[in-house]
Amino acid sequence: MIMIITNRKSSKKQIKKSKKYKGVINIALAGNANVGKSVIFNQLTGLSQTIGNWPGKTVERMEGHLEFLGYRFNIIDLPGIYSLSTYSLEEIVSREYIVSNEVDIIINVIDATNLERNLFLTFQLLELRVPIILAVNQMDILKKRNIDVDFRKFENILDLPVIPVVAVHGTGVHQLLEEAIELAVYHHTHEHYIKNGKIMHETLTHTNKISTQNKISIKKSFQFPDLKPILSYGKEVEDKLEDLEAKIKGFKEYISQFNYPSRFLAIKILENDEEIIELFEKNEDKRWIIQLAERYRKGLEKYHGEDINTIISSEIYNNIRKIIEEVVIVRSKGKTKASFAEKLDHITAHSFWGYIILVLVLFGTYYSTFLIGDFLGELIDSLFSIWSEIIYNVYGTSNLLVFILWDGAMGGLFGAIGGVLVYVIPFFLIIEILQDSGYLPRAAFLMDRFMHFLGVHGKTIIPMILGFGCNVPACTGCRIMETQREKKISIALTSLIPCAAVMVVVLGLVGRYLGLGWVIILFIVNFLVIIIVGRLLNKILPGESTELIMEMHEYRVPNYNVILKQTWVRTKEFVYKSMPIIIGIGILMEILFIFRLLDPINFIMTPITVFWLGLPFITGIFLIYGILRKELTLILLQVLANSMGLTILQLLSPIQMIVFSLVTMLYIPCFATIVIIARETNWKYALKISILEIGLALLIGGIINWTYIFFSSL
Amino acid sequence: MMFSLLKRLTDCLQGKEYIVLNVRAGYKAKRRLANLGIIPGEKIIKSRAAPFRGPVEVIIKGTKLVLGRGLAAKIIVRD
Repeated sequence: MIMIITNRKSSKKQIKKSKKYKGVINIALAGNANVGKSVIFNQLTGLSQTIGNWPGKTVERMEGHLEFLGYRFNIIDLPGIYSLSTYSLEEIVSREYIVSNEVDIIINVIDATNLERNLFLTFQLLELRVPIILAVNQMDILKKRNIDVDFRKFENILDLPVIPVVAVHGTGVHQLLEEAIELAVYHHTHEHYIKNGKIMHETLTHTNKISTQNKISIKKSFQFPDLKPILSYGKEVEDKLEDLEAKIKGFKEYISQFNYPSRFLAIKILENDEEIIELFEKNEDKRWIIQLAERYRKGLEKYHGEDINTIISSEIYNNIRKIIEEVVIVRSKGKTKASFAEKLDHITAHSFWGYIILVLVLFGTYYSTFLIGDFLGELIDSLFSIWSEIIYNVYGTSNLLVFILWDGAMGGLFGAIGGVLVYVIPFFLIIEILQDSGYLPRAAFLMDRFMHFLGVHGKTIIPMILGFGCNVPACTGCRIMETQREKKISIALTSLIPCAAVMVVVLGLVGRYLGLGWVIILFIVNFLVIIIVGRLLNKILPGESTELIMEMHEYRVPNYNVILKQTWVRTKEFVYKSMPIIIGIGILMEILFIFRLLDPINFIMTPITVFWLGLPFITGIFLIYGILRKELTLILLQVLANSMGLTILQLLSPIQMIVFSLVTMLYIPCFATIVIIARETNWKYALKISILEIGLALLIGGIINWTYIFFSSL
Repeated sequence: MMFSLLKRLTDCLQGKEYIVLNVRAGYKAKRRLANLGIIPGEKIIKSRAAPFRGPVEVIIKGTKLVLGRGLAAKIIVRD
């Protein structure tokens, strides 16, 4: 379905604000994954970034803005994509956005060291006939290999600005904006001249203003160059396209609402693109065009002996090859030594050492998150108790408001900071480092085979690794999955990974009193559950599973600037969107406690806790608190034992410990995770996952309890 | 003289250059692979394979791509 994307919050504000600017230019950054798009985005927008979702879609939307030469630039960082087909949600969102009136100019970031692959997307973008500026990144690396690009020729061929960029150093980045102004104001590209190998520009002295109303007209009045020769798909295909396009143009009024050029629609109908076909399918008097396209398609496929996508892709790659032959200058093929990056690649994807390193990375991630989080968490906890003392001394301990406002709201806030945020921040940091350096695809490569047991492919290992630290950011990490189905399964599996908090409970209870052997058994049970859930969801959820297709990027030194900013932006998003809910629940819990509503809940839960699971009466409440923060189950148990003057060993029998830990491990994702699951999918799915996990936890806990009772009564 | 042999990508020798002959995958996967440059006539090298019959990594058009084993088995190549 085609969706008109509306700029949710900013359009009104923008127009008001824009009075002091010479004009507003909306830019979208498009390009493959890992080409330095986010580095350019960071260079341009700094800390003005916000992160959100595309309206109605769970695809990440990165937005930022800046002022430059008197213009305001709104910049959207589109997801990394390889094509404009309908392979992933990202591709659909991107192409809809690119043609929408929300964006004036596309900056297409391409990797100079991999022009052939990168230009494929460029060639698809060209079919959208929107103003495009090409940013050729990593020119420094290319030059080190004694290869150069003739930018002047490149521009002459495309008739669009092509700018050399070294994003990590910020070289050429602002020149992109100058070009954007040029395009926006004069609606055409201007002549560059080259001096000492550098592209020089006249100093921009714009007197023309872009009127604030003509946001649409930047795109509309842009004279898209005639690129017929380089966009040709061969005579046979072109003949059919010409005919289809002419017929589609007959639906002028109907197609004008979609913003797509008629030729693009013709290509996509011929290619059997689901989304575009649907546009015509739902309209009875336009269905014949689909049938016509199908006839043409079959004819072409018969003629070429290949399917249509292969035919067109081959033609595009042929055209790309011709351009590369023209513009790429290979000076000398120097011998390249195996670089450190290559050695690292070799060992981290090694059939033996790769797995050892994977385990080390896993432990490292978990342990450092745990260490930093624990340290900060304790600091915040003690801060809270010091202040609590003071508050109690001043206002007394029986004041209802103190209970609700301090213990409830502030307790919730401190709990959210000390119990969740302190783990989330170091975690985001580690994720970003792993992501930016390029390690994660190696893990996916090594684990793909095993992930098939769970009904997903290798990429799911990435959020799952992250889950060992904290499920909350890990579930957000499931965005890397291509399809909604894969994403849903990955989220469910990730939410079952024992996070740092669960480790605290398991190690602090079973590990401490019963030994490591039992801990390992519990983990095995946990992983069996993950396998069961994975297989189950794979059966239940509609659609078919997809196979792993992933680019293996070279390692690179992580860009600390990007890492820190991304961590900051993600943390900010978490604080604004999820913390209020977590704090709200804190208040609710406190109110329940004050009005002694917890006892009835405990009582209601007795059939489950006491009868079925064989746990002490009071544990019902612990399990409810555990939804908030899983380690609370153990903390509260300890508090209770202390207040009764007992040790935990006297309070719980070994079998009760095992059941209690196991239930804590599995019974529900913590509340913060549920919130994130709901945000990444929907509340209905979050609820279903919660119920499924409660069911499984109770089932397994009960089976253990009753098996024990059965055998001990023998 | 060498005979031109048809092989599945999974049965290829590691590090040797082959030519893609065709891709026998479903519509969506095939389109994806075509977009990424896995098209008939293209040179392809299996650069490595994960153990336990895991996915394979190929070099195509100068970049490394990882393909699930099931998918890789559907790519037919010749010497």
